[in-house]
Amino acid sequence: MEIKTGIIGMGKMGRIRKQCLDAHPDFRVTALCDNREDAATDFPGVACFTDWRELLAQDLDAVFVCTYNNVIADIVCAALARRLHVFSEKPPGHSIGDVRKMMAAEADAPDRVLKFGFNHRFHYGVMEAKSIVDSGQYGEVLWARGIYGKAGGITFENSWRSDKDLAGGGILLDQGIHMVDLLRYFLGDFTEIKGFVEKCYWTGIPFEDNAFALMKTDLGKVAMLHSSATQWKHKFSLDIFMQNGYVCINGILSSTRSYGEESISFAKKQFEDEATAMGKPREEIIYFDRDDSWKLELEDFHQAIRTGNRLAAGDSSDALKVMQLIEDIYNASGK
Amino acid sequence: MIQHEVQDASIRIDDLHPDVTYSEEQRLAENFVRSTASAPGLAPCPVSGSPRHEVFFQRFGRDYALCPRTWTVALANEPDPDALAAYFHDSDLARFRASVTYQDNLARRRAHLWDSQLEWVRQRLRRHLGPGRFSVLDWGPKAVGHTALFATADFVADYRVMAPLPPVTGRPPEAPCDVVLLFDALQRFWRPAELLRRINSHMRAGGLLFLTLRSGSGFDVLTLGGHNTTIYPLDHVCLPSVAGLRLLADQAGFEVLELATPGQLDVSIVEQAKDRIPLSQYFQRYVMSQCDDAMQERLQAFLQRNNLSSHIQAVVRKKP
Repeated sequence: MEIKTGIIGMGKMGRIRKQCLDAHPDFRVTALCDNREDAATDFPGVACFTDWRELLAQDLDAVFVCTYNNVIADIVCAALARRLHVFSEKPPGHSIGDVRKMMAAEADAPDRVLKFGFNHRFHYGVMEAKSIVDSGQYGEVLWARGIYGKAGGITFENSWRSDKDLAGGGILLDQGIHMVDLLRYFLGDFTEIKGFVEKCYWTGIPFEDNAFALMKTDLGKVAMLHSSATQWKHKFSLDIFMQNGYVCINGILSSTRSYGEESISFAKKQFEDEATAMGKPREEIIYFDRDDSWKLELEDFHQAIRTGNRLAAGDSSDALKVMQLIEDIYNASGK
Repeated sequence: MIQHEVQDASIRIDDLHPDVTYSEEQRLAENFVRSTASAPGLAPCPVSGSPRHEVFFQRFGRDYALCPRTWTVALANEPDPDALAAYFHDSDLARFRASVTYQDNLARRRAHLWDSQLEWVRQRLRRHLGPGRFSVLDWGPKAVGHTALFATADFVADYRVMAPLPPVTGRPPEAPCDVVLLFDALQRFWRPAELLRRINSHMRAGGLLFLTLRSGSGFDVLTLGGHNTTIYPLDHVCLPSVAGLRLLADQAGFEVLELATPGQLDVSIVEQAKDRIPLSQYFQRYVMSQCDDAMQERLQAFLQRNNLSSHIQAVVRKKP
């Protein structure tokens, strides 16, 4: 059965989502919205609006919210009130207050699906690593170290991401949120947080360009996070060390491949009685040369709509917990 | 979709092919092969059916040819089936390999490799079939230590054996199996497609076949040709290439889930025989003259990642 879908915000993410929706057999994009009037010319044959309220007034089943962070909560709440299934980009609003507002709207529409875009969980490297960790073959997780960094470019200081009103947070909220989500995904809920949130280089923006955090769970598992906008060579790296082995995710596939190839390396620990060189265990590396994360994430949303089953990732509870962590890191840093 | 690389500093060619044992095996194999006749001419490639026109190299007086379509390397002609059976089951070589000394030696030298192989199977089972215990059929096993390890693995509910080589014994299956292991056995068969179809008939739909084999499209095989002491008749009748194995799997009703060449030894094998690299192979001769340990490691990693090593590891699933 066809799912009539609208997209609000036709910037980079809106266009990626449209491509995925167009390729899906059940979704049909029937309405678009962007505050730039000329955006409509790129999408002939689809009803285009400049006011998101107008789009929500159409005959729709679902809506994708791909806007600036400052309006996410209002749009999500209005869409849920109109009994639409909602997929919203990350971050889930400006603040934890925004998430709570959206959760209240969700509670009033219990038969609707609300999903937030944490597509990294659907990267093959992450999925494979999760399967290794969950198998228990290497024992309990001891610690993890996640680095996610990009280079803020020429337009960085003037982009919407650096606008206090539109974005609501710096690199931690914008990109680091993915790593915070993954660290929680692998280690569980963190209860103790220490952090530094700094303007190391981009002094003309209202937010941090680097965030460093140490987070510990009740079980004593420690995660180290570095989120950066001064990583002049893009980097994604997540190391997860367990009692008897490890799995490391190196690189994450993107359209430009600027974060390198996506691979996982994993090994059982070997002491000197098993290995010829201490600290050089037999290691297997798997390279993944395809990124289907957008497609798989959409399918998760689709399945939840069709079956009423729980989302595999990105529900409002995930959103709340990750936003709480981000707030805790800001607070720990006194920012 | 995925490529593999394996870094294992503990694997050394001298451990896997210790001089004394290996040279005795070669001597016995050569005696046997030279005492049997072979048909003249060049049969079509046993994998692709493509005509072959040129002998690639000779070992023990037997010609090997390359498939122009798939790069599969195979004997020029089908070996006499009786001779093949005698070679593996009733020959001085078969008796040598069945001896307690040989088997103990094998178990001692390969235990860590077998552990890695077990871990590979365990992981892939979990990935493709989920957690659980499965009926496993081991096809063509030749080492008692290896079968003992797999028969008692935590993922095995029922362990059966088909076409074992001496001294391995075991019961054949009575019902279709979830999992078939075909480790370093496919290369012993002249008609690999027929073998894979037979295996398929012993599996339930969705079941997994795990294969390891020597590949004709690997670096050491293509570089050294007849100077590669690790390739010889009748242990190596047909060495499918990566493309050849894909073709075989498809023809026999399997979907390829994983096909990698995580071999460790191509560069070591070529390095040990560098004085015998054919004169026309200037680049390989130059590379091997420059190759220190670090470069060997990088070159082997490159071969692994690009499916250019001569050790294939694959997981295929029986189609519904």
